[in-house]
Amino acid sequence: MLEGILLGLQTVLTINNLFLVFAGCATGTLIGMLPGLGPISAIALMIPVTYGFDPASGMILLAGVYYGAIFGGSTSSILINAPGVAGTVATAFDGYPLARSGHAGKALATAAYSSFAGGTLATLFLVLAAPILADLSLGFRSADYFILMLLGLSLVSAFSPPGEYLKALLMILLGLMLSTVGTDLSAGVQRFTFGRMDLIDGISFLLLAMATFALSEAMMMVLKQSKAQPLDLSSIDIRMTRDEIRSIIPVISRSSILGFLIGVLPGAGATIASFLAYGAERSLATREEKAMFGKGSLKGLAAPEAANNAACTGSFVPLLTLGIPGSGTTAVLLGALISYGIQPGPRLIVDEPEIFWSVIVSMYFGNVILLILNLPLIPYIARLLTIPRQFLIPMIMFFSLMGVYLVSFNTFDLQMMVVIAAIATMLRLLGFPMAPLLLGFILGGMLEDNLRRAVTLSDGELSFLWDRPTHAGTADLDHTRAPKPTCAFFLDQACQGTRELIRCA
Amino acid sequence: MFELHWSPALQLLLAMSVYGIVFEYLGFIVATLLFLLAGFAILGERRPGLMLVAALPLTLGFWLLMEFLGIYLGPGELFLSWVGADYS
Repeated sequence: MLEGILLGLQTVLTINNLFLVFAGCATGTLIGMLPGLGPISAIALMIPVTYGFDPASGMILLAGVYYGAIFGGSTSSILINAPGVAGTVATAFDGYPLARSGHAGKALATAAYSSFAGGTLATLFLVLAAPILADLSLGFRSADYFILMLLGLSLVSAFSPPGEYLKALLMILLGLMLSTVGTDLSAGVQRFTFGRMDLIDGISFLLLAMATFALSEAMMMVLKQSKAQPLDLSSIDIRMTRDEIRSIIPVISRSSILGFLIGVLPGAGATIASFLAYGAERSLATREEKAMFGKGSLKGLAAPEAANNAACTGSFVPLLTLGIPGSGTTAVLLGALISYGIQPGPRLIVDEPEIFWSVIVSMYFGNVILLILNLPLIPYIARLLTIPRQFLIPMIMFFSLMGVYLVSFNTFDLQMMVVIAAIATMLRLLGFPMAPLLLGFILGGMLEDNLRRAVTLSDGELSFLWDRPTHAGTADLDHTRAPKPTCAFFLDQACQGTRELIRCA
Repeated sequence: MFELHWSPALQLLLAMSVYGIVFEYLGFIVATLLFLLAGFAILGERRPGLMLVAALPLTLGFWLLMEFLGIYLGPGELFLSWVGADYS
C-alpha cells in the first residue's frame, strides 16, 4: 500500500498534474456554482477537454471537477438558496438562513472547512478500503459481475425517494434499452440502427450525459424562470470564533464516517448521505440547539457538507475496485475511463496502478487546493452568480453541443441531442430522475458482456446464477432487495386506492 | 406551483436544431455567432451592443483555441464557394 501511495505521489507531484488538479477544482467550482448545473453536467462538459491527456491525468482532472462542483453547489445553496445538485439541498436548510441574517461569510467558511475535513477523512478511508476490496474482487468472474451489477441497479431504485421506486426502475430500463442501440459486439448484428450509418456505433455516453443533464438542466432553467434572489456580497467575513469551530468538530467527524459508508454503497450517494447526516445531527442535538436547526445552525450546515463530500469520495471505492459505479456521477466517470481505453474493474489496481493511486492521492491535494484557493476567493468567484441568465443559458447549450460535435464531427449527433434533451426535459417535468437512466445506459453494455461471457463459459447453462457461493449470497440479496421497490409501490397504490374507495363510499 | 415558460424553451430547442443543420454550411464562426445571438434574443436580451460583446469573444476565442489545439473546424461550404474553392 505504501508503495502505491508513493507511486501516486510520484504521478501527482508533477507540474502538469498539479496544475490539472487545480484547474479541475477551479472549473468544477465555477460550473457547479451555476444554479441548476450539477457535477454530472460539469464532468460531461469537461470530458472532451481530457481526450488529449493520458488516462491518469484525465481522471485527476475529472475527479477535481467532481468535488469542485460539489463545493460550488454548496456556495450557490448558501448564497441564493438555489442548490445546483440534490446533494447540497440539505446545505441550504441552514446555510441560506445564515446568509440571510448577514453571516454569509461564516456560512461559507463552515461549508469550506466541513467539506475539506469530510473529503480528507474519506480519502484516508479510501486508501485503506480500496486495496482490500480490490484484492477480494480479483476472484470475481463474469457471472459474479453480472449479479453485482444487477444488484447495483436494483439498489439504485431501492434507495430512491419514496414514491419514485418505479420511476427510477423505469429510467434504468430505458437506459438499458438505449444501450442496446448499435452493433452487437459479440455477434456483429446491427440493432435498432434503422439502417443509419450514424447509429452503427451506438449512442455515445457523452452525448447522452450532455443531453440528459447539461442541456435538459438548461431547459429547466428556461422553463421555470424564477426571479433571482438579490445577492449581497458586501459583508463577507469568513472569520469564525474558536468556540464555533470547537462545536462543529465532532459533527464533522461523525458525518464524514457516515457519509463515506453511505457513499460506498451502490445506489446511495451524496444526496442520501447529506440528508441522513442532517437528520442524525438534529436528533443528537440538545433541545436549544434543535430549535436552531433550519434557522441557521452551524452544526446543521456542517453535517450535510461533511457528509456529501465524504460520500463523493466514498463512491470512488466501487468505481475503482469493482468498476461498478454506484451513482450517476461515477457512472459518467466510468464512461470516461472506458473511452480512454481503460478496462475498469479489479484489474485496474494491478494493470494501471498509477491511475488507481494517482486519483486517490490527487483527491487529497484537491481538497487542500479547494480550501486554500476558494476560501479567500469565494466573494469574487460568487460574482459569477450575477451573470444574467439570458447570456448564460445559450453559452451552456453551445458548450454542450460543441463538446459532443468535436468528438464525432457528425451533425447528426447534434440533432439527436436536441431530441433527447426535449424528451429528457419532459421526463424531468413529470418527476422522473435522470441519473438512473445514465447508470442503466453505462452499465447496460457491461451487463450484457458479462452475461454473454458467463453463458458461454457455462455452455449455455443458466445455472451459474445460483451455483457459485459468492453470488449465491449476492443474488439472494438481489432477490430480497429488487422486488422491494415494486412491492412498496404497489402497496402505496393499493393503500391510496382503498382510501379513495372509502372516501367515495 | 411554477408557471412554465414553454415558448422560449421551444424556441431554444428549434434554435439548437437549426444550428445543427446550418453548422456545416455556414461554418463554425458564422453559425455559432448567429446561434448565440438568437439564444440571447429568445431569452429577452434587447441590447445589441452587449449581445455582440458576449458572443464575439466567445466564438473567436473558442475558434482560436481549436486552431491552437490543432482541431480542424471546417470553414463552411458557404465560405468555400464564395472564395471559389472546390470543396467536394
